[in-house]
Amino acid sequence: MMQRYYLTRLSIEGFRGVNNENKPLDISFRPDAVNSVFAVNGIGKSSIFEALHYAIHGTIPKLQLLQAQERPQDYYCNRFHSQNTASILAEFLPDDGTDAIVIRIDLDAAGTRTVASPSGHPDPEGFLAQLRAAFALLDYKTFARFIENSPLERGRTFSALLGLAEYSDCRQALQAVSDSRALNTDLEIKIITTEVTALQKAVQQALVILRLSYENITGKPLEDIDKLDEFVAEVADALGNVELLKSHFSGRSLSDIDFEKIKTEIKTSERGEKRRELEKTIWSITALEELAAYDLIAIGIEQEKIGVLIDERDELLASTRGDLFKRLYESAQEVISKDVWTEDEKCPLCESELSSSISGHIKEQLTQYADAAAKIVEIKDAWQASAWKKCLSAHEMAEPLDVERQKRQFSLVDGKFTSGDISKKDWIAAVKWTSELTERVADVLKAAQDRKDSIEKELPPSLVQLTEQVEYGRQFTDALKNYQENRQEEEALQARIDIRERWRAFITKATTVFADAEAALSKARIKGIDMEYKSMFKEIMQVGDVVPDLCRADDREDLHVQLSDFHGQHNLSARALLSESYRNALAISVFLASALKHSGTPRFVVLDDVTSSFDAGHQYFLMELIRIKLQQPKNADGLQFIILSHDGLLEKYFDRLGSTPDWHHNKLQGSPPMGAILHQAQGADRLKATIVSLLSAGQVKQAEPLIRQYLEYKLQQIIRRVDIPVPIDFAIKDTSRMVSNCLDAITSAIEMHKKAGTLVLDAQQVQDIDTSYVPAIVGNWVSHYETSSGSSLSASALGGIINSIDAFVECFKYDDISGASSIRKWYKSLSKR
Amino acid sequence: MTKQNLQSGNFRFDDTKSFSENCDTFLSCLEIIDAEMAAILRNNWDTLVAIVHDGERNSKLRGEFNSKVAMALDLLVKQADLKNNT
Repeated sequence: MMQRYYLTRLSIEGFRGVNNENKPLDISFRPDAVNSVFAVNGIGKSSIFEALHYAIHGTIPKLQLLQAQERPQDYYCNRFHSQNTASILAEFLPDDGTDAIVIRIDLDAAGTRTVASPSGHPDPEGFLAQLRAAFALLDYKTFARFIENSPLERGRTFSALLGLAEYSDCRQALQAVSDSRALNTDLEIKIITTEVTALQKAVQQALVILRLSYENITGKPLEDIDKLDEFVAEVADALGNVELLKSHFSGRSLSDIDFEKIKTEIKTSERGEKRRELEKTIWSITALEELAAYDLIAIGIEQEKIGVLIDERDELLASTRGDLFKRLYESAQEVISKDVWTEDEKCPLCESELSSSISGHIKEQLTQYADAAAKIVEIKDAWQASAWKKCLSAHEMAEPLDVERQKRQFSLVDGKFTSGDISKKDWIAAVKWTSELTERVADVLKAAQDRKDSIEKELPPSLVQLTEQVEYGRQFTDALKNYQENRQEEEALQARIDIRERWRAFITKATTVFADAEAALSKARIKGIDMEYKSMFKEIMQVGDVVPDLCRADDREDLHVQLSDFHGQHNLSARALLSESYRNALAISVFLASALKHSGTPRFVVLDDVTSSFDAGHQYFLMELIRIKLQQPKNADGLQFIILSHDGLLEKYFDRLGSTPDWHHNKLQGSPPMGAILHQAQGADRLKATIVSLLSAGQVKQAEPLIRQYLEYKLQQIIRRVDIPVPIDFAIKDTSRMVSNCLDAITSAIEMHKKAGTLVLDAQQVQDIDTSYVPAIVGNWVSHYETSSGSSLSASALGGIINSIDAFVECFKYDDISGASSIRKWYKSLSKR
Repeated sequence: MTKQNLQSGNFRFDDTKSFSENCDTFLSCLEIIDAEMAAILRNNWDTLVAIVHDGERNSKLRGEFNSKVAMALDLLVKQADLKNNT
């Protein structure tokens, strides 16, 4: 059984709105009761939620949304804390009765976070990581987003809630690594494929030379390349049988023959210029025949194809609006994808209404840029893999064609293709230049052959043949080497491609298998909470004819929210039909049902202002649902709930239940972000001690806000304990006049009971209230501070107010002497002991 | 689990088991499709799982994962060459 934890204490100093220097805000929570924390706006309730988020997740969502230039790191620590440091201490109680774990998180002025465990946990950071469950900390935004999100975003968020975050992340990771484009790039599949194509072309060129030289040596055509070994032996035999060459070939394989040595010997024996010219002419003829072997028809097709690609690219570029707009669209896409702008039919720049979707428009524009970029890559790849590229390069560099260096164009053309800057005009010029060079080959070849015939006639026949045989033998051997090396390299690269394709097939299949299994698991879990969330939704909204339904897609992570019943109509969009409170009620129901069913290490749920969109009635139904059915131990499998709220009406509910066993209520007061925040129960004694200390030191200004807190607390304590009725608008009256509001409520109630003859207070108490304490509080506080008309009072006058309020409180208590000893007790009401 | 079952999408996670246990079963089942590729995936599983965290994708880690896979694939090719040559 997994050990789970309640949150039983939270202490904060120097974090966000909580200054509390040397006097941490210290709140305790009961695991066996619903815990509420109430504070009016600006009193640090959000800072409590953020402190918990930072403690557990190490982040504050609100600050993560800030831009870097806004320096979010400057806003973690309270800006008025003299040390500019923060500390958060949280206590977690295991639900199996073992000892509590205390974790302390410190943040120094440099922004460094350190985590320690005063209770001695060996891995405090690891422990906090276990608490990172999707449901533990929930705020209003989380609920609102649940309905507003796209089905895919909702599906992914919801996976976390179902306890399937790891599955969802893993599924996305598998999709990322099996993405075809990522595989081509990361595994270099495209680069290797281009290399293989280039090698295949080199092999074909080597074959041309092999065929030509073989035919010249043996007089037979080279037909079946698979019998290459036989052809090599034939060439070796043919050359080895020439009388003058026998000694060079005897006992040697073709690759071991030193053709240069043979040539040198021939040169030595016959020092004629004519023989050397013949040798060079044969070499030229071979080189020219190699050029003539290029398939000009195929090259023409390649050129046409590349020309079409250039036209298509130009057309795509013309439909875009330049780099400046590209940056604009990319920025806009970022704004929309990060939910900074959620109104899809409104322009984020001028905020005018649009007739179509802004995200759709941006996507369409960026797609055009992406298509143009893809086309540029396509042109580059087509050029790199083309025979045209090799053909043009080979022709320019071929010595027999004698192309002047300054006329060569290959480097320039290649550079333009590689950079993507090739224009249609450049393309036309390159095609024309290639044609000029290829046409030149036939004339130069004919001239070389004529010259060879002429020289042969001038030289002795035996020597002519010998020179020819040796040169063809050298060419055959070189081509054989090229052919074999290129084939070997091609095979090695092809093997790398083959195994990568095998991986592609495997990882794609693995992704499908995982995704199918994840979808099935998710569906099963959704089915598992079906009854619960529907029943919770019905209880919160008190409706029976609106029935929500969550539908998980079969092949995607999309999660659709539908209404299986909407006042008799079926299968309609919840997003389109439900009002905000209904949507949030649905989201809360789904979240709470999931948290109950699939909860992890944290056995607590912190709800921050989740009832903002609810009216009083629905707030009540939600709170009752939590109190009666979801909170442990009433629900044996239930959770501990901690509800943060600033809602004045809801606070009446908290106040009413605050002293019952089911509920533990904290009310925050204070003057953040500069002053301290204290909760009432913790604060009264500490407040009084601080006030006395400040007044003794003559620090009147610093004491004044604390005196107001103390007065409010004591007066509200009387109202609660003696059950004094307050006007219906009491909670929403001007809070700066809370002291007089409380005094008015108390004195009116006393007057009423006096007139009815039901007042239980003794005569002395009534007289003290009327003639001493109320006039002292009104005269020394209300008339000075609530009207803002008076200057500060002296320290001794303010000390008198503290004494008056304490004595005033005593007027609502009596000595119970019914037992063995006397006990000081509150009156039950103004008419009952 | 047979290859046919796996191909027809019958693999399922066990809701009573942990994520890591289910992943282990998943990787074992993949051996039916291609044992050598499944071994590469298993050896680099930790890197794969770290690619997406809380829904946030890390492209650098994706590149790192694929780079490790590429090295493993090339090693397989080399081993096959050595085997063929001996």
